Amino acid sequence: AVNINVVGTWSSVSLHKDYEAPFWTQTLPQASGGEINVEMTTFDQMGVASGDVFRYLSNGLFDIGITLSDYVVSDAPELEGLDLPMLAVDPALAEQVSQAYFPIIQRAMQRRYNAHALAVAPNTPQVVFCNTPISSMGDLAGKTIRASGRSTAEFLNALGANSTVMAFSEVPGAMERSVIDCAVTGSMSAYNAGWGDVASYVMPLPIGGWDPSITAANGDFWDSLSSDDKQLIEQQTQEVFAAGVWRHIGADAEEGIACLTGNGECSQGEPADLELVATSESDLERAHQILEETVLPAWASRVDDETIELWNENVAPLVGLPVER
Amino acid sequence: MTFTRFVSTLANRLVGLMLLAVVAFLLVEILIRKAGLGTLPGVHEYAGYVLAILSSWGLSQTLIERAHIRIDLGYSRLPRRLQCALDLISIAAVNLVGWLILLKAWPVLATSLHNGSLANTPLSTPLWIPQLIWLAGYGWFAFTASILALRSLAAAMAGDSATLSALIGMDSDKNAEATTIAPTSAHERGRH
Amino acid sequence: MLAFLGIGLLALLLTGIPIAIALFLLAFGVDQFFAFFPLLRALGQNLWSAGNSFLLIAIPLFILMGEIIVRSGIAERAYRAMELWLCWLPGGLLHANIMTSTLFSATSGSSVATAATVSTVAIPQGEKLGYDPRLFCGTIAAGGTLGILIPPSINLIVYGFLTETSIPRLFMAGLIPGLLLAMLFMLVSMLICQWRPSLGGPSNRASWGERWRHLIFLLPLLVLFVVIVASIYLGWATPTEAAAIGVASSLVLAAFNRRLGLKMLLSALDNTVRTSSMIVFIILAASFLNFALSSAGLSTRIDELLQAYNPSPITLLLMVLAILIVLGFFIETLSLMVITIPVVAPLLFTAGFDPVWFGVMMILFVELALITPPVGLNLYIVQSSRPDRPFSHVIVGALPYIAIMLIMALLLILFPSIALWLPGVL
Ligand code: NA
Ligand code: NA
Repeated sequence: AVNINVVGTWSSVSLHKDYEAPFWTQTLPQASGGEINVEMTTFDQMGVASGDVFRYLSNGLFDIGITLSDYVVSDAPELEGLDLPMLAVDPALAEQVSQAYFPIIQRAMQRRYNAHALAVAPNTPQVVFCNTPISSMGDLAGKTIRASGRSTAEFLNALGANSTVMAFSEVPGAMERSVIDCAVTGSMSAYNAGWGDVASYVMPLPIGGWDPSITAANGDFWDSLSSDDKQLIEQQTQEVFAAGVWRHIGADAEEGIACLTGNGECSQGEPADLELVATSESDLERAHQILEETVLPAWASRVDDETIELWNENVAPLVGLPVER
Repeated sequence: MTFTRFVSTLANRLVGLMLLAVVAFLLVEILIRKAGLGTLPGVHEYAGYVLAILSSWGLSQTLIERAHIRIDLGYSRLPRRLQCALDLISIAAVNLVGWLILLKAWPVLATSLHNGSLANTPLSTPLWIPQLIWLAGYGWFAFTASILALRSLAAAMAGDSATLSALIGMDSDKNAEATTIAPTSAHERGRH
Repeated sequence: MLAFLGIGLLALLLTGIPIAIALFLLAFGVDQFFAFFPLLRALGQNLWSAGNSFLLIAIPLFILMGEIIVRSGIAERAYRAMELWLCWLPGGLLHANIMTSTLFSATSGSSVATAATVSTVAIPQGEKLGYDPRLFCGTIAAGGTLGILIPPSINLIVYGFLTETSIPRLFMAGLIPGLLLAMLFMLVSMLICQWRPSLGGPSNRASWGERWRHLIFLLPLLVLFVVIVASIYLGWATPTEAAAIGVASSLVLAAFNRRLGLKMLLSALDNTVRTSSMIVFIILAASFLNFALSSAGLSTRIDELLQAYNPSPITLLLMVLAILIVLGFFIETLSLMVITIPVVAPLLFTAGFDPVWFGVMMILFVELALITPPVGLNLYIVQSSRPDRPFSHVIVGALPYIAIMLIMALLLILFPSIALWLPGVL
């Protein structure tokens, strides 16, 4: 029998509660016929910073770690391209991008953390919340906006907004008192953290991307497994776990918006009543242009040639954004 | 001792000036933001690095000045000999923790160097720079602790309990003062 | 594991090992005996990630502000003004002690700094006018504790950092209980002096002209408080940025008082770095212990324990408060918080208590610890301003105020909105 220590993402979010935890603690052990036993916790329960998970994984602190790719781009800028702002506006395309991107992820995890990537699964689309009136993406110009990561900040700055950095727990207070005008985060996490009370507008464009999680195994641990176990774990994480999350992401994103606006079913509790800001064709064109002219070249300058080759070969055809060197 | 004290005091002074710089930049940031002129990128990020540097470089002077909080549950009622023994145990524990921190903090810098890690901020600061300064602070702390331990041990061998207490003893007045959080010492207060 | 923690902590504290070092050693012990993971490998990364924090920079900044105010002579003048305005009340100067402490608390992040400042300016006056030393010292020791309840408060920042609770909400939550406590302190002082007039000093009336002339000396502290609080609540600044505004304002005030000089500034900075690095080291140690405990499954153990005994939320709360009182006899402010928060906070939050409300409750019991013997820092601070007098005076004098604090705790349990109303409406 094999005992595996798994560390998952935020214990309170749906990605963990509804997908990671049941998969690792029930589905996989059952599929292995009792061959695999799992001890599972999450990085917040462990009291570690979300951006440190893969560093600990490479130290051998645990066997399998899951964290959001946006948190680890300090160490592995290659992963940033997986989740560029507005790269994939609908979930089907986002899933295709994540699959096309997998060779880059595998290479980065190998090189940076001596780890073996297993799967990519989305968290929730990272959308924009404001407490000042906006009616289109262009209205973000001149606003002070809390961004969660570097490429989102670059995107917002290109829009003419002022991006700023702030801890998640300080956002509601800061938005309430207009220290900031807007903030970017996942729809359901915003709802659960009470942003519904402090924001007035929500624009459901993935300005902060889809916040995908990466599941990876410590390299030494992975090498110690039998090839049957490896095959089982890879097949199960991709076809059962990740595929399951992708299948529901559209509905989950819709429910997030429903909980925030009150239009539609919200199983989480009393819905908030934010105003939904409609998106226009010209918003999408503008976003594509910023990606092409600002965000993508900035990212490309941070990664090596092989990553760019892999991007041009696998991802560029899907999104129409080749990198020129 | 004068050398370790000198370097520690110098470090303390430099960190203090960094704090003043943080104040100045934060004020500029607030003014710019309220005037609607955007933000000053990197102020928050660099303030974070200053705190990390303060957290390691401030420790050695605190140790030399015997300002780390020690709880007196019976120490002051013990005979001098036992007090000295407890002081030696304490400085040994400080050494253990100090060197262990240094040993375990080194991989943080090594990983950042290996990955060429850049901060996940618009400035993309190379993380090895603040981490190197931070790590060096813990290195100096461990070194200072060892020097103190060696000197105290020498004093103990020579039976010189006065020197030992002056080096690493628990001075209850000083100790209470260290916890004042804004510790203006009694004689300074008296001057006003 | 809980037994190991209790015994280990006691043993380490008995040896007088510095508190931060003791917390690290405890964490190493948890790693050795209880963890599934090799936790020690995470030590460095933990220290970096917790230390590289914009939020915590508020601590050195608020300390620096306090250092500058104390060195600029603002407190003495404020005390003189309070004296003129309040000395006609039964109890006279006792009220000046409490009100000066309250006002000073509104600009200081620390209780001990508040008590130290007020005792320096007040004690010579009390002795000159023949006040009963017990009650006189008691009001300063107790009034000083308000420093960490009335915002800004370093202890509330630490609580917010360790429990991930919003610091502006915590600050607002502390304000009304702090003012209420100050009023109760004054009320009980008045009642005691009505009952035994000899305990108070001569009640003399100042002329109105004199009162108005001195009123201006209350202004600096008021301005500082308004600037800090307004900058947070009008949306100019986060609490950390407000600390920077506070430092700048205190420098301006010191310059007005002609006390600002290079030497004064450098010595304020030196003390600030020394004190705050010591405090941050303790916080980092607590945060690593927190990591070790949660990685070793403490919450699971606690859940099991709770399921076995299944106490009601209120029983649980009373147990926690009892523990805080007992530990508070022996342990001072910051240590008391960082030792208990990792264990009790998850417990109470799971039982449904509001993190902001419990933050105020915790601070109240930390205040209590400051004036309960044998280890009560504020008692020592007051005593250090009056050497060669019996320490028992200070201890006895603080007793009525200890009772008031317990009544305040009861009020907070019965009417949680005393703390939660203000953060709710702002
Ligand atoms: Na205060
Ligand atoms: Na006490």
